[in-house]
Amino acid sequence: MSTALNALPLPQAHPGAARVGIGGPVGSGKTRLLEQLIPRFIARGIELAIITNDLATREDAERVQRSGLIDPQRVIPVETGACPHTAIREDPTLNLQMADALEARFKNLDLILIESGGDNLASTFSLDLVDYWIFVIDVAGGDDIPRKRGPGVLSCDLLVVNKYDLAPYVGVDLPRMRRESAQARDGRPVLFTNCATGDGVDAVVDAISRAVLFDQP
Amino acid sequence: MSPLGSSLLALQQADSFFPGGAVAWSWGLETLVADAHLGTSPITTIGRRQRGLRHDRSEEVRAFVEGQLRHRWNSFDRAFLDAAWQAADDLQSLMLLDAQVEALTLAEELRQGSRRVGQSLLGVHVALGTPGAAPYQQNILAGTTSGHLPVVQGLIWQKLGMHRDHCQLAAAHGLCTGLVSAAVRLGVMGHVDAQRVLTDIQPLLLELLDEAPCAPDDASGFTPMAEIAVMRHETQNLRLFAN
Ligand SMILES: Nc1nc2c(ncn2[C@@H]2O[C@H](COP(=O)(O)OP(=O)(O)O)[C@@H](O)[C@H]2O)c(=O)[nH]1
Ligand SMILES: [Mg+2]
Repeated sequence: MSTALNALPLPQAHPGAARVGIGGPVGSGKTRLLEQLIPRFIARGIELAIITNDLATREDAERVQRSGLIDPQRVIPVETGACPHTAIREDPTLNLQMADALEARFKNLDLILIESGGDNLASTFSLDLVDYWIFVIDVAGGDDIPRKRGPGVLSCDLLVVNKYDLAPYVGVDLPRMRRESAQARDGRPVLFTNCATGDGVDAVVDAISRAVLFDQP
Repeated sequence: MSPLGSSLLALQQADSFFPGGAVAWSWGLETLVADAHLGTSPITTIGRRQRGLRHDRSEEVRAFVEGQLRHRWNSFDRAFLDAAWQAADDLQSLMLLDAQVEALTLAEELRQGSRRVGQSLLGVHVALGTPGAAPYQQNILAGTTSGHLPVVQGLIWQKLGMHRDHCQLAAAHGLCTGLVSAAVRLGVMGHVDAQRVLTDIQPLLLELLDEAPCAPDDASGFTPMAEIAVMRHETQNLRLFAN
């Protein structure tokens, strides 16, 4: 028995959690996306924790904590002093400190998802804070957003265009929005989701896994 | 004014929390980044736990800041800042200095930037009731002078009681901070590298300040790459900054 165990390769030291940012305008569906991502990652055996940067309340954190999807202690709100973009870019130290604290508390964390407080199209994540970041816009916010090429749309690792189910109700030409998103992204990934139902979310999980969880079985 | 009192004023005036409209100006950096003159970041995502390890562009940013500090601020703006500090009680001389800055700044976008930042700084001091601010603003509104940044700094900071060397320190440091902060907002570097660049530039800044400023008649500015970038800025598609 013990010889058989000894024959197994030694487990590698745990490499620490990958940190993934989720940014985008207010109401685009960032928290909803989180709620869709959580059970999928847990089903894949990923050790997960969440940081939310609510603008003025703890509503997002509490919503996720109460969702029953994840141990509420693994969901932490970080206040941003009314500056959501500062907290993920110019001065990400509070988020960094909270992510470090989560990793210290929950050993073997694989992934920390950081939801930014809703911000404008110019908000971007500091690469000192995250390994990978997603920018979530939604179809109902206007099909001109990809065309406007804000820094969020251009420089994120993955652009998620959410709420495609609403296209017929808001007069959005979905094929055209797909085309223009792809043009703006110039070959970098874009995914369309319906986070109300979960359609398209598996592809987001795959993209995150491929990019930052590749050392997972 | 005691040295400590003057230092305290300099800290306040050079603080990026002090509202002076400086956040909106990149002085050519935005165009250089867009044209990949500041190095490029790899398109592909590097993997897990590689935070902060992506292609580091602090060397390029440092070089840009050094160019601006040496060949624009030290040899040009600083001369007018110091002359304005000495002439703070003499409206005619101040306006003459202002006219010289206007005439000697080739690129329209640099001229406009210097004017607009100068005028917003002055506006804050008018609101604060800083002596000398309101009369100078009257002249700008009447169209008799331009309100360029170094002239306004020299005037206002002298009136506040800041020592001559502290004014230069505040202006130089404020310039460096503004440029590095623009680089962070352009996604070129993170918050730690930004502070590293500011630390690395300090010996140069102190070395420059160790020499006396030149006289306005000897002032010169030569930052061709940044100036061309600034001139091309208005035709760029994506513009977060005013220049
Ligand atoms: N129809 C539809 N509604 C969505 C979708 N995603 C999110 N929502 C709704 O949009 C609203 C804002 O979502 P939320 O996740 O709170 O946005 P956040 O501010 O970006 O976190 C909520 O009422 C969600 O239920 C979607 O794909 N389709
Ligand atoms: Mg939310």
